[in-house]
Amino acid sequence: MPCETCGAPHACPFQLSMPPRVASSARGLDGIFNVNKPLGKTSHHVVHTIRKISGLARVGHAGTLDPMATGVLLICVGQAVRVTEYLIDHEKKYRARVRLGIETDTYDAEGAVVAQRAVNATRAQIENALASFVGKIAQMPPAYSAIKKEGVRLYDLARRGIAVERTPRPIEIFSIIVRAIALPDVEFDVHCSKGTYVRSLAHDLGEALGCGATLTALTRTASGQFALDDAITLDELRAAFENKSAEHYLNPLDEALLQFQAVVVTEEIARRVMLGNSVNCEREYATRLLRAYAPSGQCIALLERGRRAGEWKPQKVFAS
Amino acid sequence: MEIIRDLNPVHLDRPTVLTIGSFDGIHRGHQYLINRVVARAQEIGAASALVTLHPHPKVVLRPTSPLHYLSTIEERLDWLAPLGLDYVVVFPFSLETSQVRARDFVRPLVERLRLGEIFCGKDFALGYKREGNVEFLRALGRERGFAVTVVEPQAFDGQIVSSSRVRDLIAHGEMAAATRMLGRYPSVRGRVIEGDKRGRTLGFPTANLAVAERRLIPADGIYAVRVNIGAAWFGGAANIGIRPTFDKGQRLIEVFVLDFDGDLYDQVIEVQFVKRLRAEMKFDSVNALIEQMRRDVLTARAVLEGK
Repeated sequence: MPCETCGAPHACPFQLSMPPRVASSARGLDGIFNVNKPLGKTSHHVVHTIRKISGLARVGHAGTLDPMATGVLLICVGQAVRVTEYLIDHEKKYRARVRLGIETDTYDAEGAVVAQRAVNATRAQIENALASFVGKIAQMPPAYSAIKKEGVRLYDLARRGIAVERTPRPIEIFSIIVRAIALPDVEFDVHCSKGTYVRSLAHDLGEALGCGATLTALTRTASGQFALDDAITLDELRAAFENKSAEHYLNPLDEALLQFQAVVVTEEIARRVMLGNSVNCEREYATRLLRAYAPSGQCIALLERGRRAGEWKPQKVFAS
Repeated sequence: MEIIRDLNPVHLDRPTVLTIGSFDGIHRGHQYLINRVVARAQEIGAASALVTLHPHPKVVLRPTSPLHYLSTIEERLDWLAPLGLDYVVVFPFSLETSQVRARDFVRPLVERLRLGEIFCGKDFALGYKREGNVEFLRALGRERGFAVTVVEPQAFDGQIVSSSRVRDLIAHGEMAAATRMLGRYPSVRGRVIEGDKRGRTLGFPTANLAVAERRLIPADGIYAVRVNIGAAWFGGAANIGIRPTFDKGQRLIEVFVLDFDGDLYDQVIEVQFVKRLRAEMKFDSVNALIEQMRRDVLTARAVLEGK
């Protein structure tokens, strides 16, 4: 039986040579902005501002940064809103500053001080405590966090003074590099998995040293392949929308999907995929998901392995 | 961080706090020393610089030395990048440079980099027959206007961190201890080369890694690994060893990448070794081998997913 996806009679080549990828569909802006979040604003405020300056209806962010944090905040617009979940999965890098000897209820400088202790940790003790976090660890999220317990956000419960039992979550720290120790302040770079709370790292450092600690500054220096060096400010983005050049800053939505195998399908198959129909392919793939491109280079869909052998179902369609 | 590969055209406009050494691996001892240099430079309004000698003097002076590197120069520069140094000087070490008298060795540092203060360990020495020890440098510094600060070796977890200690741990497959001394997972970068495609016929296509000469690779065995391909990270299982049926005594790194189905040929990938799962084994039959590989992949996945 010839392969339906690529039309090959027997051995399915599955992947034509890749055309140059294109960012947006004809209808409007679809893609990801790498924005440097300003200090003191909520992530939602950034979304709201971009909605206002762009006039776009579908705008969302991929991974909250606390108001006191700055750095890479990925903003998805148009169809790219639907790849948010994959961006959230990406690994993150942060630069953090921690003040030793002070403990707060939120684990950061925004919170109320609950304890103050003298700091007599040595440099080696601090470095050892941080290094002990590298690897796969179970991390207790802060009481003030957006994690839900039985449908209610932990910070809502915490604000109402309700103590709930939190459960540690598996995370991974790939590296921690101490940048500076000027007691009582410690500055370090951390590369970590999704779901890591740097506030909890700060808190746990304080616990390990016995003096308590709280996060006083945080910058996200990378989210996946999106680096702070390439991030734009809200002012730059506003000016770009005014000059109608915002698409220069737009990253294609498939940047969120690079961990999935790419396949290019024929026009005929692309049309069927865009209508939401399953397609068949003889070739075996090791992955559960495939990102599919039309011959034009536009990423049209994420395909999911079907129940039948060789069947691929559109899980998300990004074009119509 | 500016990388300087030739000191000749350099004329810095402010004094420099610097440190010199091989800095192979940029382990936590190195990181500590570099932090001290950067902090001191900020304190006195100077530039911070690191001079990395490459190749390693041991390799140059004794080519038969078994020394294997924890880092290629590219890896070393990548790991130095976030540490806040203003300049990194890559200093090519050769038999010729090993003959340079300490006084002459220091001259370009003073003239080109405006050396203001040098940070080093108490056993540090530079120049011909290591004549430029701390005492010598102090005396020369009084003459030429730079200070010498000796940094005490730091014990982490009760042990002095050194490149040779880290090499030893990695060579014995002690990944957890090596991770703590590095502050990151031990890793190897390499280009994917054509293999014998045996893995493919067994149902586990692997990428075979060509690693730089004299680059240290972990002890033989099976590892749970993380693999960086392009912009994305994947989990994987890696086999390190000599394959009895196909080799010229070369040790190979073969990586099976989880949830990946693409052609990696000729790409440069980075493999981080999270955990050593087991030593190499011999198998009586192909089926037994395949069964074991299936189990290894399951174990690697469980380790990587934290289960």
